[in-house]
Amino acid sequence: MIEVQGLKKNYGSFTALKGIDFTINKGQIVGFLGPNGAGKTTTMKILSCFMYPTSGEVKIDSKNILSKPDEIRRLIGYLPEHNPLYEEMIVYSYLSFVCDMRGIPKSKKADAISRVISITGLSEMADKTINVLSKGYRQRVGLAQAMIHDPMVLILDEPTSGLDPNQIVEIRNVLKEIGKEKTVILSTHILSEVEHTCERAIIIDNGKIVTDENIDVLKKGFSDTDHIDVVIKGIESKDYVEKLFSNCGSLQDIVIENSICSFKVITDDSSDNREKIFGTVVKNDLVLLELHAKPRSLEKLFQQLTYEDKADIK
Amino acid sequence: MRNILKIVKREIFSMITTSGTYVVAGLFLLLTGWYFSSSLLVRNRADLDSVFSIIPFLFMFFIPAITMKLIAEEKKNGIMEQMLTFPVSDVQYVIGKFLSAFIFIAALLLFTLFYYITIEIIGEPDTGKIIASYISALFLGGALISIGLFASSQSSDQITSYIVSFSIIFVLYLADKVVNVIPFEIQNVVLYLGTDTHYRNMLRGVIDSRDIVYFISIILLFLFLTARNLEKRKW
Ligand SMILES: Nc1ncnc2c1ncn2[C@@H]1O[C@H](COP(=O)(O)OP(=O)(O)OP(=O)(O)O)[C@@H](O)[C@H]1O
Ligand SMILES: [Mg+2]
Repeated sequence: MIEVQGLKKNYGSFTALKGIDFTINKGQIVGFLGPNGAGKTTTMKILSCFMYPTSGEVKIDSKNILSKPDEIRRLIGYLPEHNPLYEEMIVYSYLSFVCDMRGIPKSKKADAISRVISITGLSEMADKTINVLSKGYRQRVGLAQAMIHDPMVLILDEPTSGLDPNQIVEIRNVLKEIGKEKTVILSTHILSEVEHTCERAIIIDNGKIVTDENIDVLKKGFSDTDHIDVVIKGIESKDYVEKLFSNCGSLQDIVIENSICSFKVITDDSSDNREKIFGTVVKNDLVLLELHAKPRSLEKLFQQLTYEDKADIK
Repeated sequence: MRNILKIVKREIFSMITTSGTYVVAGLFLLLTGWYFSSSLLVRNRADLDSVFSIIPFLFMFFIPAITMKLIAEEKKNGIMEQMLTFPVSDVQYVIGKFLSAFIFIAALLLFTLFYYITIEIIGEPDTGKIIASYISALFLGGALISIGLFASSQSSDQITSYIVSFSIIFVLYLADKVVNVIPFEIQNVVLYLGTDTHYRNMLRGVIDSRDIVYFISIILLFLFLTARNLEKRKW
């Protein structure tokens, strides 16, 4: 459905995209993740034919964006980053205007509008002027607008920004429903967003893709142990604990109070060393109060992927 | 064509709901009305010469005000991004903007027909000349709108856009007035480039194809430059 190869984009002398490749199949929901300035919006602007790449090839539905931008625009529903809307218009008239721009025939307009209004839960706001709407409702108008022509591909730049948690869940369900037949690409900074909505995450940093995996695979990767929290009784000195547990990994955040000692064990290979720790405790006649393996979170991996890169540059 | 009409329709709706529109329209009618009535009452003349003689001046101030936001504002708030990812071409977008401003100017001129009706009732105006004057004002308006749109596409700041279009319009307006102080060899060129040269030619009641060609060229040139400015975003 969407094929991107060697996509590069320069803004003047600044290179925003440094060669991006991915293929997205029909009916996939894909999340673009990445820190600020990573190039998510730039990629989306190119996919939606707002601007052209500096080099590289982009095909949507086997059509090249350079040769058939008009046909591609018809296939796509696009929600731009800051959700721009004609503020002075009434929600219903705005949607009707979008129908006109999308070339939806008069006879089908009312149906198209009421369909998106019910999907996005806008029925109570339909006769309000856009500039009096709350941010969340504005966002829904933006989504409604993007879906009004029932497009094959939906490109949504931060669709859930500014929504309250209930709305986020609702929109998530809407997107999942749409994603059964349509291809959806959304960008976000929120990891759980991708975790819950998308089948696949493409993590972009600094104009490059750092990870492109199915969510299931990613989650498995994240369930590795990050560190183990331990609390034991019967220890008086720091050096002593460090010596005792040196074979289990490196120790951090050691705190000793009233012979109760708490610390973290970081393992080099992310392995679960709880048994070893337990064994050491028993052998030395100590009392184990707590033993917890903390899995690596998506957040942590995200940080690692996107910060390591910057450390290299420095 | 359909796309253009829909853009025009929306734009006109937006003008109707904006208070600035009424300020511009009110000032325009007040000033033309003042010139019309003083010429009628004081000098006792049943013509619209005085009205049409200040129109270039009024256009110079008002048209940049009407056009300044047309593209600049949408560039700034991102609506342009939305509009141009609809199946709408840059050219349709530009023409839609042009026509909506043009319709507004035409509507303003339509109101001045009231002056014509007045003198038609009380005197015997030269109707042919007045028709030519209206055509002339419409062409001048079109040319200045096109310049204004270009300025609006040049930046995303409305004030900058006003200043740019006002400056271009002012220079073109001045051309036939400074012609005596410039070298003889280029006098004709400068004279030809001036908007007022052609406007005044047509006011005399003769529609000369050379004047029409001039105005149409200005309109097309600046519409082309506007479309090219929009095109730049892509690269
Ligand atoms: N029009 C432009 N001119 C110059 N540089 C730009 C332009 N648009 C974006 N950039 C730069 O390109 C880089 C990528 O920007 P982009 O908007 O794609 O990031 P993003 O991933 O969407 O970030 P965010 O999460 O903040 O929305 C940034 O460094 C940005 O400063
Ligand atoms: Mg962005």
